[in-house]
Amino acid sequence: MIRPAVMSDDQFEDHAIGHLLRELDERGEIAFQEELARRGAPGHATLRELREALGQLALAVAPAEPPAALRARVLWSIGAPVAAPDAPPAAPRTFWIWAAAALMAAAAVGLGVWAARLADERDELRGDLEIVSDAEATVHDLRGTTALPDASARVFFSGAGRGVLLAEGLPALAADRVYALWTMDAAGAHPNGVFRPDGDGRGRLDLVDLELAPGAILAVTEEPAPGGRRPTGRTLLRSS
Amino acid sequence: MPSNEIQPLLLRVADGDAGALAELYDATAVFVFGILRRMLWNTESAEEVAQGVYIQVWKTARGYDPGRGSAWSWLALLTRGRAMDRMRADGSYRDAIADLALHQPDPIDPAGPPRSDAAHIQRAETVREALRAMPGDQRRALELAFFGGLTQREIAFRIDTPLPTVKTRIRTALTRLRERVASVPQA
Repeated sequence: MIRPAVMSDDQFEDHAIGHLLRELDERGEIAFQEELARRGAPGHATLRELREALGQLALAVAPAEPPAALRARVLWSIGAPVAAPDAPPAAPRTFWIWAAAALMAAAAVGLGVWAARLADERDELRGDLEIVSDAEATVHDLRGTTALPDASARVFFSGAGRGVLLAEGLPALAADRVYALWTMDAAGAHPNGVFRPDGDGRGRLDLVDLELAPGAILAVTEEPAPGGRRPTGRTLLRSS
Repeated sequence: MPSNEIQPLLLRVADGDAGALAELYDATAVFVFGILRRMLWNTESAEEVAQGVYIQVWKTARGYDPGRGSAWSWLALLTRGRAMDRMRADGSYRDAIADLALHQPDPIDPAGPPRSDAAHIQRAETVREALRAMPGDQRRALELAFFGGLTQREIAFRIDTPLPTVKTRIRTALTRLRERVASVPQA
């Protein structure tokens, strides 16, 4: 049964646009979702039409050819069986991010200065630096198990829903193997992505929408590329 | 291109098919990168965010529901969201973007896509025609909201216009756009 609407059609569309453009605050989003539920199928149809219009609006801009190396980096990042890119960004980025991460771990004082200097030197580091220097970021340390005692990793996850895993001490892998990060909880193992180490044994992985339930742990295993839905290899690193 | 035919690719990606992601990339990268270039005004940032977009596609494609909209709209709004995250992470950069957006005369691609099929060209041109046909204040408000990454309240402040007026302009502009686009068949 469709309950009576409390918003006018214009108000509903304004909220729907705000929802799609991600600008509603918590109260606005709740009000929109309640109104959407009240309106039922017609409300969802309006939302869909607005979503389609915004999607089509994106076609108005000039298409642009991305750098040729980007494709290989994307596929490499997900562990697809492709040759490593000529200039993988992970190597230099990982070094500098690890430097910032180490600084943060050693002493929070001064990180901002270093982060600013690093950001000046390497503009492309900004995204990672924002995560590792985010005062509200959650940090999870992973230690090597007996299978890989010299390895370690740290996962940073910002309140903005972005995160990064930084690992070191990782042995090189065959071309058809990857390291995989998992969230393990009472319901089982959930994949968070795969990565390969650089020549110095460091690895980096972008994280999206990482959720850690109470009692859950993070773990890294070695898997056949491009990775699967369930771990098959031994646990090499794990959080406590 | 970026319309109904990428839906099967996205559904294969949701099943963990890395080859499908490669095909999806080939079919959409010029459009995704175009959006990011438009929003971020920086090739390096656009490249970095584009990589993040496809990694997020790989990880979240299972959340795509064909019943809620086309695969292209899902990808386009995901791309915009990633660009917004980058813009919001750097306030001063965002201000610069907004200033550019305010003073930029025409964000529409005058030459059309570098490679595409006839259906896509028709649809893209329909969108451009719809934008050109809009009153300037409506079009500017819509572009500032979508490509400039400004909230409607921020737009109201920047162009010194009451917030309800800005909301009406964006709503009206989007209504006109969806009416025009709805008249063009999906490829």
